[in-house]
Amino acid sequence: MTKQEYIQIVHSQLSGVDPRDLSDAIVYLNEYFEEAGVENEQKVIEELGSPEKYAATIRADLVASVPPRIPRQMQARPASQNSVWKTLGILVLGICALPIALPLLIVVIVLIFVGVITLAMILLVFVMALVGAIITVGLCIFEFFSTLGQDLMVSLFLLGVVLTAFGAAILACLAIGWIIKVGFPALSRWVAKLYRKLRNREVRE
Amino acid sequence: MGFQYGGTLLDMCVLALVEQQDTYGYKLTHEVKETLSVSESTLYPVLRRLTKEKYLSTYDKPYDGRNRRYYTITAQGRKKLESDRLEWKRYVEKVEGILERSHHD
Repeated sequence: MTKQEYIQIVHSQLSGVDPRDLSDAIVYLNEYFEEAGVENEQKVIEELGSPEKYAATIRADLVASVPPRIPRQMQARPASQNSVWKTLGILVLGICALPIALPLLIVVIVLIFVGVITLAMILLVFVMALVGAIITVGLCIFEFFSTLGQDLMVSLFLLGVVLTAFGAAILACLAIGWIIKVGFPALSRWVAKLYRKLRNREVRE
Repeated sequence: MGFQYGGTLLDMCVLALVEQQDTYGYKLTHEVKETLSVSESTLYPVLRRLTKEKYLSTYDKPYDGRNRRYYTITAQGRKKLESDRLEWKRYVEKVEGILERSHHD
């Protein structure tokens, strides 16, 4: 292969690239051969490798330096156009689904209401227990002191009742505290989660 | 060993060589080949890339009846080389730190 043939092959292998890049590459290659001298022509060809491979290296570098184009479709669509159609779609869907959706919605609301009422009732139970225990403690202490002189058995019994009622009162306080601090917030968080889940499903569709 | 001189490493070396002295393709290729044993076809893409990124610029000088295209480093190129040198120094220190440690354990 002569130098001319080598350069010719590289030139043809690089067809399609930017003409400026092409001419730069060929000028470089030509100068390279000329620096080596005519006597070293074959040595240069050996060193550079096959013209196809040499061209491929150059082509790969040229292609690699072109920044990748992000196709327009992949970029975010303008928000306004999106939301108008989406809102309309949801509205139509909502109206069509009304016969089923409305009773379901009512059931969900009623259940939440029931949940709140139940928790409030339990709270009331504990409050009444607390009040009852306090009254018991009060009465029994009074009775305890009045029967202390007469009947020891009755006094001890009353003492036991007082202590039990006292313990029950403490438990009732703990339960009330728990319901107020944990129960109601947990219920409201659960309701919010449910609401968000429903909204997400709506948005995704 | 398996250490390679590709990519940004080669860019840095070429930039450093051109900083020392303006040079042309053939001469640069043989200088690099002597020390780093890279293939001849690798050099043109490096020079092209460095020129495109304005770290090198070219000028033609006739020699012995033919033309020689010389590469010279630009001010931007010098800045890049400086930051590359610092990065390289840090890189080497880190690697040597690890090698020293494992050697003493």
